Amino acid sequence: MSEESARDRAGDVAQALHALANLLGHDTARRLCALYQSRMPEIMKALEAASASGDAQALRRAAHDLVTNAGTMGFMRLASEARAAEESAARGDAAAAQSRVPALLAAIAASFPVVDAWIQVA
Amino acid sequence: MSATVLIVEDNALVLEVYRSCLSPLGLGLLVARSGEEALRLLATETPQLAVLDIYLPGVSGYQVLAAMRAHTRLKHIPAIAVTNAATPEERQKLAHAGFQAVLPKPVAVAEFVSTVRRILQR
Repeated sequence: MSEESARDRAGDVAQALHALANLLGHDTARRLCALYQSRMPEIMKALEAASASGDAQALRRAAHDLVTNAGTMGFMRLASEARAAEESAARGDAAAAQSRVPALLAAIAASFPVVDAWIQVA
Repeated sequence: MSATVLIVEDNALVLEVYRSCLSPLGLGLLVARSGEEALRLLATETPQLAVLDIYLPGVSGYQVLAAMRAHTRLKHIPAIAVTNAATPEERQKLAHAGFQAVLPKPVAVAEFVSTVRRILQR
């Protein structure tokens, strides 16, 4: 991930958390952050396993889970990239979906410190 | 606003967002994590609104609504469909099935709240 891309992603996550807190309050936003962080390791494992096996249906399910969770948080860049993987897998193009998995894993991992930092200052 | 809303959703993060949006409005919530659980709840409960995730493992949101529409006590309860596939064709199919509104997943919080309010105030 380039430095610029990482910075844009961090901005997307921070902006989404700010919007979430404005809409639902800081306590709820913190609770949602905790749920997001508790759910992501399982999704990352599912993406890794599905990618390793080349199972298009498993890739579709894992990417779909990521779309829902990231999108609900308002992390639209991550959700949109996951949607592209989901759509490739849904078409049966496991190779295209697999090729997107490393970037998805990196993007999820990159969201954690931003979420942590936001929780600490919110 | 005093009413009870049935929510059928299998994603914990999305469920928490719904709770956080609806509880401050003074709404009572009935929560089901699956279509089967929703049908069990509806055997004894009569909510004023149902928010149904459409693509659930097992009994789908379509099937939950069909069961409601076939039951004298439940057939007039308005329902909101939440779906990953909010294409024009799917929206038409959902309207034909009897849903009053369709919200695409990932759910936009502000749109969700305004849709619930609008339907309950009818």
